[in-house]
Amino acid sequence: MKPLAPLSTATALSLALSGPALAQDVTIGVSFDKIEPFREAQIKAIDAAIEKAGAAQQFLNADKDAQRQASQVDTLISDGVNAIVAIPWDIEAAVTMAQVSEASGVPFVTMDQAPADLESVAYHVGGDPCADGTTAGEFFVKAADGQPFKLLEIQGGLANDNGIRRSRCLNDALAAAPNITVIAQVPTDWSTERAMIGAQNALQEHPDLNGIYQPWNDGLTGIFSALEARGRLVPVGEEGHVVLVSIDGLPLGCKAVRDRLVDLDIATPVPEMAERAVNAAVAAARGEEIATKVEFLPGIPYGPDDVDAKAAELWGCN
Amino acid sequence: MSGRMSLQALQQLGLAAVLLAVSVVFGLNTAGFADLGNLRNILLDATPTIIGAVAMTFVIVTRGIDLSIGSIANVAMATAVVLTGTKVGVSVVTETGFAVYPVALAAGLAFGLLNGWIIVGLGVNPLIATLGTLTLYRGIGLHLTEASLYSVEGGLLALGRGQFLGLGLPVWLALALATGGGFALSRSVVGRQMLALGGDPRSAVETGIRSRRLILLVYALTGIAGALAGLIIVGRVGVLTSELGFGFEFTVITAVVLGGTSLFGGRGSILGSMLGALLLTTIQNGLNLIGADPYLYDVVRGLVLMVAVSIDTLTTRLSRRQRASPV
Repeated sequence: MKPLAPLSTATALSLALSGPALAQDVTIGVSFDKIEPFREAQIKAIDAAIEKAGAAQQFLNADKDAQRQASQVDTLISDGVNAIVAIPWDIEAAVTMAQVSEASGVPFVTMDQAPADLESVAYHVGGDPCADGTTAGEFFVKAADGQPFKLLEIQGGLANDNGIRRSRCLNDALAAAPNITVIAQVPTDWSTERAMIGAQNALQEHPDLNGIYQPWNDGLTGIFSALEARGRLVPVGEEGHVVLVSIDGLPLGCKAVRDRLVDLDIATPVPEMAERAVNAAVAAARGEEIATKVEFLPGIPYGPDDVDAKAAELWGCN
Repeated sequence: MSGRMSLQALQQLGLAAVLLAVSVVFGLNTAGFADLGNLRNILLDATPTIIGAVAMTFVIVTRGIDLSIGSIANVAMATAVVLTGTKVGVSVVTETGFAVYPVALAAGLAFGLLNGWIIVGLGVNPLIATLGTLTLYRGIGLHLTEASLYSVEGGLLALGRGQFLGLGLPVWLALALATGGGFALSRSVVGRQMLALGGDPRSAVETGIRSRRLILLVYALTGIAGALAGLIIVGRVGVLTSELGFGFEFTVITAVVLGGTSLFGGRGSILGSMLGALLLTTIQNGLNLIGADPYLYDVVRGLVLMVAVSIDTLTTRLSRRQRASPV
């Protein structure tokens, strides 16, 4: 019996150093690009998924700074995390972070914002910004119904995947409808104030504006403020209404749909996204093969007429 | 002295000419630019920057800088809304009363004074001190709101959306502060002491100027101005989010430097800062109206900042040469 104890210790050490980790031994480094209401919902979803997986986590926020996020990833690696789940701020910088992490033997998983090169990461899961942009574009085409239609496109960030593809795929979908004129594309870097000012200015130049694409929910209140100032905050279905499409599925978006101020909101499936990212990180940390390396989850479109019927699957409506 | 004054006046005249030229270009390219309603919009949109720039002018003339003004806007609003707001049932709406104003202003003052104390009390360089508090205050704001979104209603909307004699209340407030600030900087004893302190700190102290008090005062002013800007922005937008005030410091500092206030201290003008703020807002407005390529916005902002800093460096060099040359 005597030699058994040292042998067990050696075996355990060997497993800890080189063998697959158990979920309860896994610490996931979580690196967020910023903190705002949508990210707060994602933090809660990640917390729940990590708890469900029985893992531990170390969280860091880069506060919209690609350089800071790269340093934080280095810190997480130095601290000995077993895998990293990141929402990158910059799509190009994400590739470098992934390469550094993978070279250090720490699997790098991205969530929500895709890196410029998906081959660089162990796994990526995100919403499908292109599918969401296309859904929005098709909705505007249907709403315009072949008639002349002036559309204002508010844009999010032009340095990240969601901002770029929500815009590009909207415009691809609109290309089939020459009756729709995009009167302005206003870059905002996700600022609610710039969104409001953009809408205010567009309404000044085009008082007969027909539609606004506001591709994230936080900015809706500013859009309502600009519409109200011009006497155009009219509920869905009434004369003078400005067709409004948004993306996210936050409680604010759900309320706006229920108040009949927004025609269509596209809810990103946040809980499912977080669970898949965490499960992939745990699996990669344990040395398991990940069958599907890239997954895009299209959003759930809902409007005033079907919000109650779909409420159970809309995290922001519960 | 007169040489320096004329140099500054020339710089302001140049800025006014640029503002006029930009307006003419946009006016010729869009039907709505010269519309009275649009001019009102420009004034209203510029108010947070004007208010921030008035206070920042005082800081910069004393050779200081406050990078935390945007974070103060954020944390002051977070403090005020969390302390005085009431959630309406389980909805996302927060009802606010008029108590939000004094609480926000008091919070702004407190955070501004803390900046001043770090600089004069601990002797930390203003750039480093406020770079630190930029992150600190934003972190406190995030902690207070838990990064949640506060859709606000009630008293908080009164300032941002109120009207008086056809103009938004924030416009009157900004005009009043700019007028008072201009008078204080150029005509009052305190204003002249600030200019003297920025021009030559050692001589200013030797002549008995209480530099520590002045520095505390200017950072208290940016704290209050940050809170006021936050009250206006949230009042207009109707929502408090964690991104409030993000990048505000750069807009404000650009406006001040554009207006002829030297980053090297000792020279500054409130009128110039106001013109700088109006120019930045006019460019943003015009780009919106003409439907400019979205990738052009950052290029234009970057160019404007570069031109401003280059002009500041050149005029400072010229001013020093004038002072050094025999009469």
